[in-house]
Amino acid sequence: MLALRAHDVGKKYEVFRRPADRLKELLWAGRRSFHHDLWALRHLYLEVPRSATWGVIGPNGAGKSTVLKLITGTTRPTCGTLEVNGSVSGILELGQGFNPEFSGRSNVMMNCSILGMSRAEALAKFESIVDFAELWEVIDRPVRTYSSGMYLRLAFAVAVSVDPDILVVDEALAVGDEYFRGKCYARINDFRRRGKTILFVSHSLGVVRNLCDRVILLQNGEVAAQGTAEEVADEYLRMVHAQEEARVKAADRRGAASGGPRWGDGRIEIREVRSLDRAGTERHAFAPGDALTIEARFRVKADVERPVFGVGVFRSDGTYVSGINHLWHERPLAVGPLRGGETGRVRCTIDPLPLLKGTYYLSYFCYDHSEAVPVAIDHQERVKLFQVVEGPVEMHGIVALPTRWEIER
Amino acid sequence: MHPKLEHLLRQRHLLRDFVGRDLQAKYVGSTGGIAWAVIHPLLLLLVYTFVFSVILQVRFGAQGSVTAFALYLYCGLLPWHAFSDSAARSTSCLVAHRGLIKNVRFPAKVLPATVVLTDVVSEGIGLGFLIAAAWFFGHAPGWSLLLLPVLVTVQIMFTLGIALALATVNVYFRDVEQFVRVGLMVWMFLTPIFYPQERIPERLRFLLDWNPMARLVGMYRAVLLDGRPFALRDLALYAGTAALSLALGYALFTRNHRKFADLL
Repeated sequence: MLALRAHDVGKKYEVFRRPADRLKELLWAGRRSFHHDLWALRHLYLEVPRSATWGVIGPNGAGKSTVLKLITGTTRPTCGTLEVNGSVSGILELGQGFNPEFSGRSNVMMNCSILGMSRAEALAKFESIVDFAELWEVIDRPVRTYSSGMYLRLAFAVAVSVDPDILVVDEALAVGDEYFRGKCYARINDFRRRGKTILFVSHSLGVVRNLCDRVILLQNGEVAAQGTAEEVADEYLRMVHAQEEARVKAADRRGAASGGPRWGDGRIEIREVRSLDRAGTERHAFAPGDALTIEARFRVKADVERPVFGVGVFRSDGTYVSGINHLWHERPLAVGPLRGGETGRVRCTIDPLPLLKGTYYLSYFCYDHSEAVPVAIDHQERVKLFQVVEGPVEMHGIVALPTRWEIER
Repeated sequence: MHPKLEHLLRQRHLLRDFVGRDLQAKYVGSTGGIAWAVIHPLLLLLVYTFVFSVILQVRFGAQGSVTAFALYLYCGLLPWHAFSDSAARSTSCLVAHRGLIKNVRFPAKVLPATVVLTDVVSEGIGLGFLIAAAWFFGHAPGWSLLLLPVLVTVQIMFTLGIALALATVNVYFRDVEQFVRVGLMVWMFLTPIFYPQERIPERLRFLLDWNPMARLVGMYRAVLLDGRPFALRDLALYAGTAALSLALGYALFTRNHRKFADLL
């Protein structure tokens, strides 16, 4: 028995550049067109059996949310047929219909009504909703006094209180702190155990791998691959990698990384900091475990006795991840005196790259260590931006610590 | 239960909850509370009476007194405001709730209906006040008052049709809000609310025949102030217009409502 069946489903949006173009087209009564078509989704074929949990993944703009909206019925396919067998409830955007002036209690009741519950049903569920959100102390206060975390907790609790045959979830909504995220996943697992059909949109391969029997990979509005999480993982990672590469490259070009302070006496000038892959080509996106080579060119303007080059690695939120140079090393590399007029390159290779998913930036610097206290020659903050994408193995945090596991029993 | 019936029932629940919240938002949040339903039209009434009766010396009614003018004015203002507030607010109601329409499967026609019903409730509070005031000034309520529900019903039909149409068109062309604001202003002055109907020059009287709101306001005055039933012809014409408005508005809305989520 199928819960969902899509046959050549497509969704087209008409995009008008200016609002006046819509009026023009109306006045021309179909004899001239002033819009262009945008296919958000095309050629979607799906057969989701009852009680299955399927994942939908893909880079941004691939059509994931269009699939969800079609299934929940907030929007309709332009072509093709879509059969949905059973009641559907979608958790797409939380807190729609919340009025901040009203109390949590009133908003819960109202939201239940919007989701299609009768007053009696809403009253019956009220207690479990507030229990789940753990907001009994503030339930009679206006929602505008809630923190954003509390607000989302309440909204999520209402959304999952509906008991549909088919549940459609955007994973970005499993929100809040780790504790509440855990509760959200527990609730989704509970739906699974009770034999509900779940469609799960996610940006994280790890979550999809844990939850979903089967995964659909979307790209540019079309299904690029379908199969178990393992089967589509490589394709997905390649896709995300390419997208991130383009994005971070563009950001780096625009100088998103530059603009940091620069100081030093200027006897050596650091000119061009690049991030290279194992083959020596410049790249902006790396996966955990890749080799990352940071290369800088320098030009010496005046003699330096003991120059030391170094790199600072920061995460985008400013967390100082690591500071490294070739002197403070198990096998220190001493660079002899550099004479005015010389040029050269410094290469520092991090292999394997222990950083996990996130955006990072580099600071590059050169100090003179001939004095007791090193003297800044050229210190540049935030010279380079790079991205670490999700790796094939699920890992959490900033860095992958080198580990060895033993279990005695 | 039949699914169609269940759907209707659900819409009714939803409508009740929405109207309840809309009224609460209007009155409960403020310090004045429900009193604003009376204070607001009362203040308007004071200002209008002062301007038109005291300064511009507009006079009508047998006695030609200020109180007669005030009652006449108030009796016209109440249905007019219910109508014009609904028309103005319903124009933007879909845009204002775009988050709901885009993300929740939800009968959107509840939104314009909520606007119309909320304004009718406010009008009802004002009408109670008007009847009391009229009684105080010597217009004892007659049996014609029993006809009031008929008027309110056809008024809701008329307003709802226009509300559905304006809400739909505004999804496509957001400029409609601007047109509506100006249009309602013109319409208000073309309706004999501030001046007696007889003041309109003979050659412009045809405007009244084409103005359903003038007809409605006239019927309100007959029932509430003159203590007589309205002309059956007036009711028939207005009810016909109201039925037409509702049919067209509803058709326009249901033909387009599936596209709302994509357009908002």
